[in-house]
Amino acid sequence: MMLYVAATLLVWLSAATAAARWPTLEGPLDRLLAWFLMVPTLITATTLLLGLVGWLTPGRLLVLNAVLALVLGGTALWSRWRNPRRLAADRLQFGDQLAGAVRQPWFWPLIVGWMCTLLWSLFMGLKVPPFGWDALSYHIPPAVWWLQEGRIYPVPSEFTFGYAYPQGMSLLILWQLAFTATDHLVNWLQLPFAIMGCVAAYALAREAGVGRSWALWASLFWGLAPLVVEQTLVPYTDVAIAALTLTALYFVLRFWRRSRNGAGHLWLAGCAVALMLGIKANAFLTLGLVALLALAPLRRNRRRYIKELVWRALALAVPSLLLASYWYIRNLVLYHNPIYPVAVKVLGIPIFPGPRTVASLITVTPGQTPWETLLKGLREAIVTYSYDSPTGGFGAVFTCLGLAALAGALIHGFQRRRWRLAAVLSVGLLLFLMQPVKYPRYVLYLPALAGLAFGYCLQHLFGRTGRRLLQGAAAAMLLYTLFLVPYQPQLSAEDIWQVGTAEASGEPLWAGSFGHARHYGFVATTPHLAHPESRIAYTGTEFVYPLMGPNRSSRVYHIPPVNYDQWLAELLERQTTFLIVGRDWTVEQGWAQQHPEIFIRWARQWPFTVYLIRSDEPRNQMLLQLVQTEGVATE
Amino acid sequence: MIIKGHNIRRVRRTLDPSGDFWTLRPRQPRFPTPAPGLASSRTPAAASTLDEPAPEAAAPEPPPHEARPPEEPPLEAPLLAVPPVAAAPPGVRPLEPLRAPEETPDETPPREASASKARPLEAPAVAEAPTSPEAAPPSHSSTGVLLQAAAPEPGEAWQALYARSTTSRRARRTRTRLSRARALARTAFVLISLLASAYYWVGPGLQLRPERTAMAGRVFEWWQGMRGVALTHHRAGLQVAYLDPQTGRLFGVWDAQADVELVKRLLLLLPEGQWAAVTVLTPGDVETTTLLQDALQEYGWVQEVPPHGAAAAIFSRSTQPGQLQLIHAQVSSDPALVLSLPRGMAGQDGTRLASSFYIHVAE
Repeated sequence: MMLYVAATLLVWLSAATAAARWPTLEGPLDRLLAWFLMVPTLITATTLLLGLVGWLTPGRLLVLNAVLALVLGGTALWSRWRNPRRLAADRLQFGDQLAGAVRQPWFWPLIVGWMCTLLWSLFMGLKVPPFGWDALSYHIPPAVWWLQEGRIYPVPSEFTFGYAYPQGMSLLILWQLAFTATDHLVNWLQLPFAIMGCVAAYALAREAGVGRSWALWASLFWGLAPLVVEQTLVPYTDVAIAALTLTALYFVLRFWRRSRNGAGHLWLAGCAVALMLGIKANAFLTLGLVALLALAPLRRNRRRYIKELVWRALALAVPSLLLASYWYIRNLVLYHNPIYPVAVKVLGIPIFPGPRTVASLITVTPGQTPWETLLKGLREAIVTYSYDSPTGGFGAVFTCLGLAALAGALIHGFQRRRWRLAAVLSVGLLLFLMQPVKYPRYVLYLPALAGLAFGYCLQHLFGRTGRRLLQGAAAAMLLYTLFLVPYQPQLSAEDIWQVGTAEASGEPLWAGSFGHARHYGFVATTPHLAHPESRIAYTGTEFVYPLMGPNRSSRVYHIPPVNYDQWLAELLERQTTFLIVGRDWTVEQGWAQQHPEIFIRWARQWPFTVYLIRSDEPRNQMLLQLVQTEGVATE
Repeated sequence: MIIKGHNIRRVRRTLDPSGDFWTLRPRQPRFPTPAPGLASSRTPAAASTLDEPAPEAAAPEPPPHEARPPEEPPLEAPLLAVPPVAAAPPGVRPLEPLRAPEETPDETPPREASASKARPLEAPAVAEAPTSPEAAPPSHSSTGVLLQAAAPEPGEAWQALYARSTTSRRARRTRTRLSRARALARTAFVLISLLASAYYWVGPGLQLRPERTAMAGRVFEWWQGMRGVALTHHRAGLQVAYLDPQTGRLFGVWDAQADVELVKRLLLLLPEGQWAAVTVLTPGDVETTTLLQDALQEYGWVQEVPPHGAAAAIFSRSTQPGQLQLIHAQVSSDPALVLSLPRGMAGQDGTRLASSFYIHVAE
């Protein structure tokens, strides 16, 4: 844990130095957001660099970041020594930023509520092991594999689609896993992004022309959206994507204002977009809109504009090439399609082959059009809020006040020629319209924009009484949804307690109804399965991560079942100890049952069957001797 | 006099702190240091922008690191087409050129016009000039008004400048456009908000939507459960849990799925002084439900479990292994059930529940 703290502090230091020295940045909001952005950028850059050259070990990561911090810190110190005024003049003044809001009666309950959500996330992160479908199936396992191999490589998996997605988030997960034995820090992965999103929403509102007191509504709408609170608990990607979208928009708007000073803000927007592209391929939509905004002619001098275009394009393209291009090049080489598994067609002509379309890949409720998804989401006809709920998740305040505020602010903004506000809201809505599936967690930036618009409407459309009424209603609805958010049908105080205590005491987890904890329980209760020398082939399950054991020590892999002989040869070549079959109808289950002389049934716990493989490996031989006494479990 | 909106800026810019007179100057300084006597008149307007900006506030507050938004139009542009100061004879103060005489009379709003008429005769010429074209010879309008009168009273000068600034065609058009925009935006806001709120909250029969009330009820129960021992069951099948009533702790939960025999074995193994909770969620599994019902009859279970429903039962064990007594049972014809036992509730064996016990069975 000390190593983790040291490494993280080094990255924070580097990020702070970079933010302080970044050209064209002005003011605390600029620098704070730049710091938030620099931390994941530096982590991504260093892990990707070491992983691609095959030097990916915790020690080297630490050393590289220490060198980086030293260089950046030294440069900053040197600069400060040369020009002491420059840094001293730029101090944070948060008191001034919040001065108006703290006198409002609604402010403190909402801030306390928001702090409670953060504490809830911290508590849950500490208490429960990582859960969540995507996290256990294809976000966390690549990070473990890369750490085990010491390099970043395309991991062959049964779940091809999931492993063909950009895996930038796995690099951040790798950071959380590299320095500690525990995996609970992974649960906190999106927590900084949740805070970053709040800051970005506030900054964006200020930049769009909303007053200080009113701009806080943008942060509150976003930070207290049920989907944001729920997803902060799990290592998914949507909170990060939304926060980065808001950050990119903010820096582009700042560039509009400060374009005469250079493209410093645009480079930061480029970094945000690059991180997004490394996490999710649909960030190309954001890239397109950000590029449109960034390349807008801000000067009348045409010659100068053309000259600047090159720099602006570079500012957007270079970070993406450095931080995100690997994933698309990998797919191009492996599948001849950079955004595999999605097929790309232009006017019906296939450009890149692929087995799926975006809609078929994402739609979770068949037969439902995107607009039906949108309307259901606005109505929130759900049993409970969930981190990946297909319908609902923005909360009552978004439907009841946010939509109205978006309309009101757009009308007033266009009439009053507030182009920055109009640009922000239009870009957000355009991004939403371009999204093929209106699935709330893919458009999670919308609550922030609604909050921004709400703040603007309060400031410009209503008198004192109207403002008080609306603020009271918004606060009441936010607190109402906040009350509903922690409820999980599969989680209770007892569940949380049991999961936490079982893991802390080293006891097996009970196979209860807590998410995917039964997978952890299955591995923990199967004798000799979780062991540093265990080499496990799996099939028929998506939840790979729990199979790696409590300390992520087991080597786990999938061998494609082309034919029995080839499959068996590869099993033996890779010195496989166990074969775990997650579904009874898989072809591997049939092969294993047909060859009991090689596949000895070791354990059975529905839906899993574990086979010990008879081979000459010392560990296999040792386990073969135990088969009679403790191995086999009855049906 | 209440001065609000962007006019306050225009008036402020006319202040010349260096002299005891009023004049119009080009933009700089934007916010000059106020004269000592005028500081109090500026303070309320400046303070109001921080906390509760006036609805008419023209420009939003710029970010703290910004001096002035670049897109903000130069508000005083037509008024500040002032001839060079050097062109004016010594001893006179240059003012803005007058507008053409035909523009002024019909542009003056009635309020400002009446204010001008009511003004005393010794009011400064600067205030009279735009509203009374006949008072200003054409030659003056081309070269600017040359003031020879004494310096006006500050209050009157403010009033005059404010009146003139609001009589300009541009200002009037802007005000009309802005008030229309505001009204339109506000109407859209209110209408959409009402419609969306109805869509969100109101269900059939103009009543509160059942999803909303049910969700709130569930969460309330869940929060209740957070204070005691909670057992959840949300997958079809059978579940058995051991409960230690004296410590108020669950110490074992088994998901038996459809294995009735496993349930019976688990009940037989229940330690002395402990309680067991059996929960059933039976969406469509009639056979298993019947089997379980038959198996539990020997422990006093008499309720009929519906094939599409849920059930929960609490048993306590006597001193003899395998001898169980039914403490509490509850059956629901919906696949959702909430069972709540209060703290202090006594079992057949005399033990009392140390904390409230709460079971939630749902799909």
